[in-house]
Amino acid sequence: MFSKSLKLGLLFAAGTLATITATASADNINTSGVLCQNFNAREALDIDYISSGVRNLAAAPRLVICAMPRSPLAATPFRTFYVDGQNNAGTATSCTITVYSYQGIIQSTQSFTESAGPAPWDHGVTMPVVPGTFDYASLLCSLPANAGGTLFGVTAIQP
Amino acid sequence: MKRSHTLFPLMVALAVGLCVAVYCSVRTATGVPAAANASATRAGTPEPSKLAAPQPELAPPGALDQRPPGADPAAPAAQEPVKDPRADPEARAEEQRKHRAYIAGVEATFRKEATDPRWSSATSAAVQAALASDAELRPLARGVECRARTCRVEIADDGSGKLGKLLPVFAQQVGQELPGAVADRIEDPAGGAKMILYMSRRDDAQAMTP
Repeated sequence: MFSKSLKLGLLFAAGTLATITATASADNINTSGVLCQNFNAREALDIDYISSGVRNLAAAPRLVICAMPRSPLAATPFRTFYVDGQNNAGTATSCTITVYSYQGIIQSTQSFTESAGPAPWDHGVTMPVVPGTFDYASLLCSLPANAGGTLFGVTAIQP
Repeated sequence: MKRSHTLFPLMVALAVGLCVAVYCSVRTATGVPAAANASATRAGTPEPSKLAAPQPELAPPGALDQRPPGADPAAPAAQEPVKDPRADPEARAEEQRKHRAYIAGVEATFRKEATDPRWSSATSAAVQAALASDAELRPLARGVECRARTCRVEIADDGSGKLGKLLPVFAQQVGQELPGAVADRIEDPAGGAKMILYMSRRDDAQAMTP
């Protein structure tokens, strides 16, 4: 009799544990700019990395593309990202976030431009459409010439 | 009787282990959202979703998020089990149906949009110039139509993957005037496909970036 009750109790505990595990949330994901790469193959040698991100050493602006990891754990994906960077006086950094499906089809894009300010910039981006659970995201940025700006990284906000 | 004596310590150990696991899970489940909220609003940075509901004119109510009308577009909806459309044909069909309904709403909203001749003409010229500036993109451009705050841009997609390279650069080129874009890929039964971009102008609130 005692053994039977114990077994029932264990089953109940296991069920509780399974329920709690099923409602686990995803964390925000911070990705450093050092993971960005040259967008065009021939420009590989123009892209320079420092401990706090990526910059462009060429005499003209260069494009870099960055992975934006997001977790499909969240039942309802969020559409907010933050991009961080810094610009020297007289320079600007333009970026475009692209969300594409697991079948490789572009779903939406959102662009912005930041320029020099009193402090590094921290740009919040809200996508026009909530990305699907299994969609991917990438960040394309045009970095100013002569190391005039640094892209620090990107954060995917996840509930 | 002897058997239950052997099982008893094992059962107790399992029960204690489960209790510890349950305690850890509860701690994790309550800690994560708090951390997420903390970083969702950075110091001195208004949460972008609070600055504006992006392109409200572009999509019909409720369609933008593919959530029920009236729901806060920035707030996460109730947790539901996610069906994987990659493995589940029903989930894939449902996803495609929702996407088609959403795009139909975007197209209908665009068709209803009044035309601002001045903005339409200037923006259309800027979009045409951006399309023409790329030797690979130029021959793929099929049409540009701008109204009062949205442009519909049609581009041929030969399926080579070329658009994956060209479109983000094009979006960035016109990003100052048209920062947000929603894309739809339409297969042509006769072969080939086309990409329709609904590109929207910056609204006042979105321009308030820190």
